[in-house]
Amino acid sequence: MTTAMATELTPRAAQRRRLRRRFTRRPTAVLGLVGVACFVLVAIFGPVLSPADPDATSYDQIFVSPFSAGHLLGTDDLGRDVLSRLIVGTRASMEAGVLATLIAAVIGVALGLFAGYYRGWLDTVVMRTTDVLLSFPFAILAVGLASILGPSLSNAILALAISLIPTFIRITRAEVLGLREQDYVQAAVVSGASGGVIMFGHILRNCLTPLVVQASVAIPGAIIGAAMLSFLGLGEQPPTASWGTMLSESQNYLSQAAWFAVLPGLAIALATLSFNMFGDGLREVLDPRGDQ
Amino acid sequence: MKWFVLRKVGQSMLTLLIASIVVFLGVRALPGDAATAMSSEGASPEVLAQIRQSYGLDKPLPVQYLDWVGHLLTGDLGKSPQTGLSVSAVLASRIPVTLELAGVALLLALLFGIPIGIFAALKRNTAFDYLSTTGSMLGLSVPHFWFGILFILLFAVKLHWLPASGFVPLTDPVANLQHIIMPAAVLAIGLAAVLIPQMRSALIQSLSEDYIRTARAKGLAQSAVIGKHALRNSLTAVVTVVGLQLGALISGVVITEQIFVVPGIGKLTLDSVYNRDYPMLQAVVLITASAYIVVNLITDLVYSALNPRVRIQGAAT
Repeated sequence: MTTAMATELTPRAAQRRRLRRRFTRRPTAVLGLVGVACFVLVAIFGPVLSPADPDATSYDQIFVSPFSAGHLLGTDDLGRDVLSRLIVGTRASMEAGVLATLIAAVIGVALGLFAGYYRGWLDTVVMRTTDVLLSFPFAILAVGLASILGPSLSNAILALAISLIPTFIRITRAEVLGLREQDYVQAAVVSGASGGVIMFGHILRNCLTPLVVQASVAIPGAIIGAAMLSFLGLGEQPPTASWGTMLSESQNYLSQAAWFAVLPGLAIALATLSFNMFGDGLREVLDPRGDQ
Repeated sequence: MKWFVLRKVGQSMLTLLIASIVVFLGVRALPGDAATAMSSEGASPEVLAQIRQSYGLDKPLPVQYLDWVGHLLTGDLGKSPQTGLSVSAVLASRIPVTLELAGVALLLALLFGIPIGIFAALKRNTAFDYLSTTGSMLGLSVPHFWFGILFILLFAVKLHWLPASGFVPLTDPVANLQHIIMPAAVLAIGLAAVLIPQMRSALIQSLSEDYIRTARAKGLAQSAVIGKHALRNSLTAVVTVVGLQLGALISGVVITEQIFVVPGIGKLTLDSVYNRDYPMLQAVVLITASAYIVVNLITDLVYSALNPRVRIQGAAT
């Protein structure tokens, strides 16, 4: 009896297992998940993991090559330990990717829900604003907003969040327009449920799939965006370690210390690659029709 | 269809109008005082007041906006206070550079992206297919600016094949190509990374359609089935992707021009931000936005001409 209980799964558990298998069937998705987990852990425990003080300068140890004693990945133009700076810089990148996406998703989804559900003048205002924001290329919008807000990591995150909002609005609204005509929503309307309950209780949970997919695209985009803003001097400010500022500092020493330019870029690329591979797997699980 | 086009054009004009207000206010929202930025350091209040007056900065904002738009419509974009050069003259010298860069990038992306996508679709689940999929994923994940630095490291610093940065006008075609090829390749990688999987899945999709089975059943050669039937239908999807990607291309231009020191409008945008060159910044951002709006409008119209279902859905929203 007990063995039968253990092997017979409830429909929900069986569904969950099917989804998990669909994800693990793709080696790249699993690799992406492992990568994302590593980067998140390094972001959280960075200061503990870093082998040396990331800001300690040492003028007799400038541009020490990688794999030297005491400096696994060498030192930079001020003799600071590159590995430690990469580790500590992880947090800024992860924060930018996750926070910017989260802020954009919360605001974008709320506006998309209201615009799509209530229509009317609210819809017109929200959609025209979206059109205007989308009429600026992403980099120009982000650079413009970051320069208006002033150069700092939190302002760069805010600028990226605002640049990401329009897509979340559009996706949510399109879903809401389709869902609000569905019988179950109409039934809720007839039974007297309030707009808030219908929007957040009934409609939102049924349009989560495209939103999760969009978030999985937005996070690596925001990581690159934050690195770009720091690279241009509009994000995290030196001497604080961040991948973008390290890359920008390295540009002056390309002929002296090539590895110094390679390493921070590699960190950005590995992080975005992990998120992209993980996101691809997620898409496969949530929306298998998309890949046929 | 006529009403659909008119409505879309009207919407774009409205967007452009609001965008111009946003640009105008955005530039004024930049930290720092325009007059201080325009004058030499430690200028007396009288000098500052004079600068404000000569650039109309003492007038109320709505008047300043209308002045700007009025001049804009007559083709007068003002002068850069920092360099004294006419904004329209600077733009006229910068825009062709960016167009060339973007054009070469697009050409490279199509030249490599389309055949690779087709080949990956035809040789599905082979080593080539996996390689191209992985390559596209890498191209999407690796930031432009790092590719740029790696290219400079490899081709300029190590191999000395190409100049690291700068630009030479088309009057010297060889030197021009030597300078433009690296930044164009960097931009092309980003474009091809989107194009390849789209081309691949569009072709796989069309190959599974009924009319392909019919074409095969009536004994048509494989090359004719693919060339005449499948490819034509999948290319329409690619046209749309290219249209949508032109926006991403403009984004890429900003940072790529900065790294390779290419004097196009991307670098001009950043320089104007750094120098607080307000008339220049206003003009260059508005021009980029207009170009973007027009490209989006054309993509929309082409797409709806190819796919009539969009028109009906569009009318409902």
